[in-house]
Amino acid sequence: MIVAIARKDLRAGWFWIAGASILFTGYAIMNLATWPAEFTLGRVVRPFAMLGVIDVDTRFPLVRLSDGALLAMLYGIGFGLWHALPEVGGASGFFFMRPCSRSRLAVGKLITGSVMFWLPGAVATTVAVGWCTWASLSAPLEPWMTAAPLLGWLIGYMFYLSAVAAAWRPARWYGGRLLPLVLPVPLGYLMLEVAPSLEFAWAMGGIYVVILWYVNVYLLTRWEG
Amino acid sequence: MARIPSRIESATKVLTPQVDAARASPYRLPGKSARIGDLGTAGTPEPPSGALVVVGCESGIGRGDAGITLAIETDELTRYYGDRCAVDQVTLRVPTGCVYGLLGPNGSGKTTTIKILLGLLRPTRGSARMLGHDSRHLPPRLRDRVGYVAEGHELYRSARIRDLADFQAAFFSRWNRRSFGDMLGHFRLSPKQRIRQLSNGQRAQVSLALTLACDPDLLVMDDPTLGVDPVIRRRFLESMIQLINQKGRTVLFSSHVLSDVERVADRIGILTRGVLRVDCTLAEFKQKLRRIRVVFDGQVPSLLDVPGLVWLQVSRQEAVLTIAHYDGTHEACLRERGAQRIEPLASTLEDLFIDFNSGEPTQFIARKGGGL
Repeated sequence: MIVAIARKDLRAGWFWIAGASILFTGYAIMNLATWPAEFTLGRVVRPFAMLGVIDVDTRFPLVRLSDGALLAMLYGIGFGLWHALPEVGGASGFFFMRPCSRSRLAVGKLITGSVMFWLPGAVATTVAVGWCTWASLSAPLEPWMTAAPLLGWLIGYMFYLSAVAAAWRPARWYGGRLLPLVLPVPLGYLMLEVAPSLEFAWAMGGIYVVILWYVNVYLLTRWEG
Repeated sequence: MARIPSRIESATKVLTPQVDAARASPYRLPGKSARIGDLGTAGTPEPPSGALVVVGCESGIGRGDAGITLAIETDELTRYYGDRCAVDQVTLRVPTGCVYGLLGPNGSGKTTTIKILLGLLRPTRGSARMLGHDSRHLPPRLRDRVGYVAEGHELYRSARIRDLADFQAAFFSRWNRRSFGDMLGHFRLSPKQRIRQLSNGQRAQVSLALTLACDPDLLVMDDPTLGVDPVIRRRFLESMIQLINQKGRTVLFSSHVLSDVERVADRIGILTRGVLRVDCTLAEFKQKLRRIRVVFDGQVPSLLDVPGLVWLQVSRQEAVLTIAHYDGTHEACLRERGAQRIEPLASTLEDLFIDFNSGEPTQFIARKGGGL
């Protein structure tokens, strides 16, 4: 059942994965290449930075990738709406009238959507880690460092789940319907800027993700129209 | 599946102005007082002037009819959207093996009724059962036996036909790939075509093929030929007839194309403003509703109190009346009012349906001196 939903969605939405993989990998490479310590572009940039002509971010390259949260957020909203709206829109009769419980359909959709969302993030992070390894940075490279770029991706995922909730929410007024998209904005800010540690930020995001999973399954189970 | 003991529903139901008033309250309590009056077959009281006449039938199927297995049954099914009543206490019985045509003008509650039956909407009050199960909790094994062709034939636009077939095959235990291929061939469609490249009619065909290949015991179709050209509609109907010919299949479909309904339906139901006003066989409907032309010597007298009057069209010295349960008493009644000549008129289902759905009969136009 989940395989069938996954196959359907992957066939229809491969361009989301391909497009986002290219976009985020490009973003990662650009970010790494401009790190002012090591690489070609970095070397070009470093003298200007030393002279104070330009403001250069000297954080470790992988940590800098958490800034990609904004891109991940946009991807999450766009992909989430694309992924969830058809099932409750025109094709709802076709989707719901299958010999399968609604909760299983919802779980199938969410698992498929999660895989499709995280795949480009995994590709981009793998390339970034590979780059850092290959470039033999003078700084130490530890596995936990991937938690920083993936935090940006987690924020994007929160927006994906919120977009799904917005699509499956039975509100008539568009303003009310889009309400779930507002909730992760302050939460994302807290996670990036205020959270005392990376672990704390991940825990905050994790709790939101678990709640939204339950909410989304509930919404699809109760959906009518 | 539900077994029903014997009872015959009313032949004539009369919706009185009092009941109309009761309907106006959206949050009234369910109960007999708000129900359409069941006035029995014999000695039916005359409807008050201006009342809407509701045609029932002797063959009406009640809960009590022995030996009949019901594929669909609803009891006082009611659904509100806000304070607007879309479906108003609809009690419907569709026996297994029956082809049931659900008719009604736009906004009469056909789609809402169908969606409630399929569990896509919850009723505000009342109940609906499909193949013996409460529609609100249809188990997956039952959904395996039900096919649904939705209004507008909305499918995933970016998908290819074969992708949708794979998707169906993964869920339906009785999916028949060969039958699906045959149907596509019959409709001259290729599995490689994308849904967005198809016309309305072709999408209707894909939708029907996807549903029929699941080999359903009960097929529910919501206006399946809407926006489809006559050639494709004919092919669509042929496929439907093929399905119907397979023993034991039940089909419930709504339609605006009355010639289609005439061709395939055993029974019809007519919904008007959410109320089921007709539930009988097609033959009974035609037999019980008569159109007559009545010629008078002078000006046409008031005919609004003619018993069973459904529709009235007046022009100078003659009137065309559509009457429910027409018999000798009507002729006597008209002669008393000075009718010189009474002629029966040939009428199609479409004529009768239009008369039936034209609202309360009125002679207002005649008083103005104009024809319709």
